[in-house]
Amino acid sequence: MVSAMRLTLIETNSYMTNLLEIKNLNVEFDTDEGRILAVNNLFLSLKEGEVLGIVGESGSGKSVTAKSIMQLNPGNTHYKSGGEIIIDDENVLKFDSTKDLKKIRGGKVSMIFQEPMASFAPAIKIGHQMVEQLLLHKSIDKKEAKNISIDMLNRVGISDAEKRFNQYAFELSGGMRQRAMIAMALSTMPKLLLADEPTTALDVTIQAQVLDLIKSIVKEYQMGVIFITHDLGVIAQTADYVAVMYLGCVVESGPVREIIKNPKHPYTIGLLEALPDVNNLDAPLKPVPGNIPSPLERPSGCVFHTRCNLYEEGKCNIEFPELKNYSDDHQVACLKVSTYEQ
Amino acid sequence: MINFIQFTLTRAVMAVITLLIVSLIVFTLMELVPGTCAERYLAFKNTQGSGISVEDIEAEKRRLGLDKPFPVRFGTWIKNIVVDRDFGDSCILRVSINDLLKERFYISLAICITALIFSYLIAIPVGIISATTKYRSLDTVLKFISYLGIALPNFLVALCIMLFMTIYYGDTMTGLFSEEFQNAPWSAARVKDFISRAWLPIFVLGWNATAFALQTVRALILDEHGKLYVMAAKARGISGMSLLWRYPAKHSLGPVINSLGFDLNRIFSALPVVALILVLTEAGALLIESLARSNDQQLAGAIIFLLTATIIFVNFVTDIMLAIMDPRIRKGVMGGN
Amino acid sequence: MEISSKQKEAYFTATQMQLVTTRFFANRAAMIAGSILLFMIVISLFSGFLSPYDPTIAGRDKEYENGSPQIPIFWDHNGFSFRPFLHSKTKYRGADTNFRWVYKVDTENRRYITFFPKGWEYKYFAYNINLPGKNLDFRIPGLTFDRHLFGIDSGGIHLFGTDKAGKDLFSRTLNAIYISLAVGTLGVFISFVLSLIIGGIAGYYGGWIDGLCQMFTDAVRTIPPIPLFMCLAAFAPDTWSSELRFFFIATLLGFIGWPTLARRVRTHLLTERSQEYILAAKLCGASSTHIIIRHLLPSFTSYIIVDLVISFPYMLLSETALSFIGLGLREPVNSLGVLLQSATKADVLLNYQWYFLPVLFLIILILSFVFVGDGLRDAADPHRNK
Repeated sequence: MVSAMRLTLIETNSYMTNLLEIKNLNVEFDTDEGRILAVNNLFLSLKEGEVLGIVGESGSGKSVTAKSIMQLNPGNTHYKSGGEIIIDDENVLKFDSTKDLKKIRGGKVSMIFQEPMASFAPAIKIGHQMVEQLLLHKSIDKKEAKNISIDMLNRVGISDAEKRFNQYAFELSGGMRQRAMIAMALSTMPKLLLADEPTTALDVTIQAQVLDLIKSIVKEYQMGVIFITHDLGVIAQTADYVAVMYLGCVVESGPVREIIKNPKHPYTIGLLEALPDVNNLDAPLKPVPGNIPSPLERPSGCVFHTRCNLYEEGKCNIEFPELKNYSDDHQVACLKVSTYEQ
Repeated sequence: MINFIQFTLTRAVMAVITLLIVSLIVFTLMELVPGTCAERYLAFKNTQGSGISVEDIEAEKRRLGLDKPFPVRFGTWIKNIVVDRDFGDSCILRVSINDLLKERFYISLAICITALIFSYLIAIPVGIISATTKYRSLDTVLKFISYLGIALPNFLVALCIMLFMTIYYGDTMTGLFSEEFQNAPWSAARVKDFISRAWLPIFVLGWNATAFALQTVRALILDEHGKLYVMAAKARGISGMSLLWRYPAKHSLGPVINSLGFDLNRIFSALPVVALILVLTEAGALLIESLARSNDQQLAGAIIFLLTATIIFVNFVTDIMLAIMDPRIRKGVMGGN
Repeated sequence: MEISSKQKEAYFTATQMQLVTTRFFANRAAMIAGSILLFMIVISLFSGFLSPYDPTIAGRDKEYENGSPQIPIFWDHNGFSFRPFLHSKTKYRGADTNFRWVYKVDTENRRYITFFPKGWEYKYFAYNINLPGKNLDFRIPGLTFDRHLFGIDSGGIHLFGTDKAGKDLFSRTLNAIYISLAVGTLGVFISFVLSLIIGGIAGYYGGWIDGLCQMFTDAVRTIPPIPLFMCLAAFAPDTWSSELRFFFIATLLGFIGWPTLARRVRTHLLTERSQEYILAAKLCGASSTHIIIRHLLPSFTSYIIVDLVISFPYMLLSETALSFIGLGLREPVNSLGVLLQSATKADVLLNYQWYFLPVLFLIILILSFVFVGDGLRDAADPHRNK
């Protein structure tokens, strides 16, 4: 009896519903030069309390993916039918009206950006903007909103929060601005936090502080976080899972430790090898050879084949590799890597 | 707060200095006219038949204070303007310039400022619509109209309108007042008459200004719209009118306010010619008369001085307004962070 | 879309001028405007050749005063003709028409258009300069031509009609375009030189010199231009010859236009001055003049050209406005403003609407300048405003 109950408990845990599920996401942009495919056939999922890092070069589609969750992409974007982004059992990709989108934007999902100076309106007080967001999403009065905001500013480590509440963005230092932005994003208690390169513009010491802050927040509120960056080091420190993207496709994904110790996709291997070796500072750097192709010239078959050292003529430039399981949780999209299904 | 007072004082001092330089330029121009006021007056008397002698000229010179050196005359002129608000007498017409100008100047001011206000009243909403509309064809049409507005000068528009009016209505649309109210004292009826006729000059004067303002507003909104903080606000759930007005529009106001003085400058510049075409009896027309017909530099100088002083004042006010509205200027270093 | 590596190579190694011109050519509106502008400039340069009549009082047609435009026709009730022709119109006024002017068209007589006939003489580069003082007068004889594009075998041909004195409006308009463009060009040139000097000094030396220049420039800029212009133009005595007046007006235009240009020059200089390549040149020991000429000037040549083109329509408009008032160019000189002057009287508006034809040319001229200027600005600095 007891053992049967324990079995059921374990089963329920492993089938805990995903906070976020992206299925079959295809995003295209209409430009003067034609239709550009930015995200190709993307599958992602995230649970509560998990940090998923998305890594890739500029142009890999990581920002576009995150923005698609809140439909923040510019007007010339097409989300191909069949794609689904599911939060709380609703497909937010289908949301059309501003009212529905408001539930997501700033409500269930919050986003922080790379440039904190640029994400605060320059001529409006910080406190004002924080209160405005709270009033939009929670049915509380102004006074309570103010209290919550100041409390939040305190929690992210801003001293003298009451004074800062009445100040403008340009009066704060870089690190403080970033913290304030995080405070504003979290004040509505979202379930999912999207962090688009939040530490890229900061210097290293502040970077460390902000990363610690994010980690403690995740622990405290059991939020899901999608952390977008091009910096593998940051991923290693902060994320639980990582997805590596190249030219709109996820080429490898899995737990962070596993990917770093045992990368399978040539691109991921290349990225890791390009990092300077701390034990041999004089060794020449080994960049990934070649250049990322223009999105107008997507290579046929496997998009990475133009830069790959495992390239096989006739196979890699014709067939498109799907994401397949290499081992539990570790997925790779490469025709030259033997996976479970091959 | 201290910063703000300091800022205001500096701006005030600079305004005064600019005014001084301008008055020096204007006064010099007035003085450069060949023949002094005394000579010309007496030449005028001469044509009327009364004989004059050299002593008369000398006496007249002394009377008008024309024998004193330049700086003294300049100083007296300035002092008269600032302290007594007296521009002296017109050389040719022999009447006090103040009397000539007073009503006319205020009317000119009223027309020009109204034109300015109207132009922005139209340009701001239309510019915002043009910048944010999803229909690119609407934007293109509006852009083309604004180009027309810039390329067609005010007086051309006035001419064309006159052409149409004369063909269809006969020659009744000119002038600021109809016959009966021309020199009558102010009354409610006169005001009504004025308004019913003033819309034409206001429209013509505002034509160019509206086009410029439209282009400026449109470019500013487009510029701000692409900035990150607008997307960040959208990401927080702010939408619709609020998103539009409170975020990009509010931040675009700065350059718009900044250009008010210059816009007024352009309107003042267009005033004389438009006044001529539409046969308006106010300061602009007076300026043309004094320069083209009678070479009355005193009058011309006074008019130019008044116009420029108005612009300097408007610039000063807009500077202060900008400092009040934009916290970056107010709180930080003068001129923003 | 395959972009060959050769094309990429070309893009990376193109000079600034090549980039600017390529971008400009790709801008359709600007190209159309540019061709129209070029066309107008060409016809103005060939105004003598294209005008069948002398635009001054010497060429007037006494038979056809205040006449309406005559458009050549190819076909009338007598049949078709390859050579275009006109019918004569005679003015008639009598008791039976209530003493109003009435035109009678003589449909029997054809007057044929002639091509390349000889006509009145027009000169190029013939100057007759009368400066104060006898010794400074000089004449340049120049080149004389007398062929014209078209004429007519008898009577007059007035494509745009005639004015009160019988002068052919078509010839006057062509001549006016030339004069207006010439005055504008000279004015732009003068203001360019002035603004280079003042803006250059202010921008390069900075400090209190800059401050002083700034105050002066700003003061002049605050004065409304046309009233100031009017004041200055009133100085020219009536006794001056038309050529002298021409140069005087052009100089005035230059003097009014320089504040805005000087400000731009100063801004460009200030930004460029603190760029690193200037520092590098200084460290190499380059002299100030060398830096100015070889480094600074080329860096903003394209901006300056754009500014010049953009200020041109303003010059045109100012000259037109001034001449319109009567303070600018005057009869017998033709400019678009002078032509406009006669267009405001009431009876003109009612009866002789063709007086407005020069207005059309003025509008087209200004519009094309504006579009070309905008196109140049976008080509020179495409990142200015998305």
